[in-house]
Amino acid sequence: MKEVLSVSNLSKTFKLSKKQQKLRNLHKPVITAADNVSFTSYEGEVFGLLGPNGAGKTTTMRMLATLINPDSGDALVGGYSIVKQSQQVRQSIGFLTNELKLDDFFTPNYLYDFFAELHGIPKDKARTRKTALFEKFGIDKFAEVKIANLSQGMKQKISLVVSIVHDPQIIIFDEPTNGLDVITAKVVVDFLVELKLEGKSIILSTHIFSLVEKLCDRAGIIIDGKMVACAPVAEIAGSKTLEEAFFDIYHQVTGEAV
Amino acid sequence: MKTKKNNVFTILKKELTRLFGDRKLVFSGIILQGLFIYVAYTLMGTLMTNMVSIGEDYQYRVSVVNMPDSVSYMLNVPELPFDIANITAGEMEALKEQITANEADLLVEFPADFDEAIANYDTRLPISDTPQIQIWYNLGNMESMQANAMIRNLLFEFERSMTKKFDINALLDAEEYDLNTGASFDMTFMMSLIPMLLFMLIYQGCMAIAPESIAGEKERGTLGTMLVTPARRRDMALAKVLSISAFGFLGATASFTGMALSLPNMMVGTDDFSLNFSMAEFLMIFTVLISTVLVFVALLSVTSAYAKSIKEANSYAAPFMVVSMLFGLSGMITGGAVSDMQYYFIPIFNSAQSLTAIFTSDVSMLNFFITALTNLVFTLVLVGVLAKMFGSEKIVFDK
Repeated sequence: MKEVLSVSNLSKTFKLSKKQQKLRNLHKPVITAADNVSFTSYEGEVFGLLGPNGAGKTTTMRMLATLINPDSGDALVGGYSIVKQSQQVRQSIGFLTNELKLDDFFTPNYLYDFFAELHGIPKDKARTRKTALFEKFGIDKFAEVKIANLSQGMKQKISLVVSIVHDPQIIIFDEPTNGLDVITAKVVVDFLVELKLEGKSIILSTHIFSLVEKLCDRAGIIIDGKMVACAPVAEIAGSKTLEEAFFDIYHQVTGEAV
Repeated sequence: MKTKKNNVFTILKKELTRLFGDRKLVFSGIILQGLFIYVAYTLMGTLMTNMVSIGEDYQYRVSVVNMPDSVSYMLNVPELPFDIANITAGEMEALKEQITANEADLLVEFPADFDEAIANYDTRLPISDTPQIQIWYNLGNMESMQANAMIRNLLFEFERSMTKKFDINALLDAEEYDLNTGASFDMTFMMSLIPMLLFMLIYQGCMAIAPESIAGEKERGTLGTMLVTPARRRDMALAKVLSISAFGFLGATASFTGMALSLPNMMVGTDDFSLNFSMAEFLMIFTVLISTVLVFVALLSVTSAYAKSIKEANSYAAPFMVVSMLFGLSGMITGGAVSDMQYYFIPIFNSAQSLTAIFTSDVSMLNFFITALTNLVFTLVLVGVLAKMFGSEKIVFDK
């Protein structure tokens, strides 16, 4: 199978202010968010990144999306280095996270066209894809309504659509169903299934075990910035459920009983 | 992989749509700025004019005790704006009360034998024997003040005419003796104030949008959405600075227009005050203003990118405003524009000096070009800094 993502020893530390140190009850002024993280994802595969809050999933995803630079290590995304070819990486991927929002002032129509233009998509092609995606997600009825006046669920659907205006082969979704109502969450999950069937490569960060079991071919478990397991989902779970297997690993790594 | 080379125009278009599509922002940031300045300055000027000016047809109510023939001949000229009433010494107290109550303007008391006394006056006599004229007035009443000044002047002229031995500057009109070809000292002083006023208005205009456009986008998470696209950070930084500058410049133009139209109303007591410039001077003023707007916007953009919130961005921006206003006053401190070239390499200070030079018709083309170029280079350096900041996780994600 062809590698679409190859992560090699990615590390990232953050300096903490005294206030942050106090809040986290840490003695060191530095926190290691990613510690030599390595994994590989293949074409057409859905790779799940599992871990508790603060484990380093988001930091790893942000590095892969070239939003932040690693302290050391590198990753090849679609063959492009996140360190040396960040612009090409961003051109190759679709990135969605709850933290990134759409400007309330604009309409879905305007934003779609804007992001398509940033990606250099020809107008005709962008229009055809927009029509299809808007219809699919029910955005067409709200195409000229300002984002500020739309529901949270509709906003998330538009974010999803906008993140894939350029029809990327590699899609990186960081906690895509976080904070969504059940209906919108289902729409997002169904769409991920569709993308998988289309042969897209998806990197999915989540702490929802059922989602990993349903969607992912392989998964990696990150705890305290370290990749402590990386294998096909069935292999990680063994004879247990994925959730049980995860807590066993968590206990082995941290010594904390859950 | 083909990546789009330049996204400045695409982002600029979006930013301009964002700024100019907000009617409230356009009204408050551009139209209201000019309108407010025009209305406020005109109102202030009108109020001040009403306070200090007296109607052209006004007749000053002057009462005279023991009016001498010599003075009566001088005062009763129809062209003089006096309504003279001859009264007796017994009526003086009542008249003083009227002056206090603003019902009369002036009371002049001559000695009973004034004409005879001055005819026989000997300069060797002690001062106590000098003929004494007494004038009562009310300094709380503009008309009384004015009448006092006019009567005193007439009496001094009368006294001088009696001992006239020479004249000064009597052969030509007064203006012909003034050899100044540039602006008067008063005008230079006032023109030196204008850069400070302009800087204040421009900075406020830029401050109204830059923190919202950058710190606000960070706060709302919309900046990150753009950062995950292939658009280069440099393009984003440049488009942001250009769009805010365009808006800020229109605000500045509105302010300048409002000020130019209202200043003549504001400058009470200054004859023929107006901002009349040639086309070349106008072009220079606008070039300096544009370059100043760029510097302000770039500075505000960098501080806004560093700030975690709009509130924090505004607090960072305030000290720069004070510095800018101080620089704006530099023309006044240096008594007009300085000519030394090296001062024109200091951003903002150079703008203040160049504007003062243009306003006082004392402009050096070399210094003007250095100003424009320095400000442009400084802006580009700050755009580079902003682009770097857009690539820093601490700046973009530190909330």
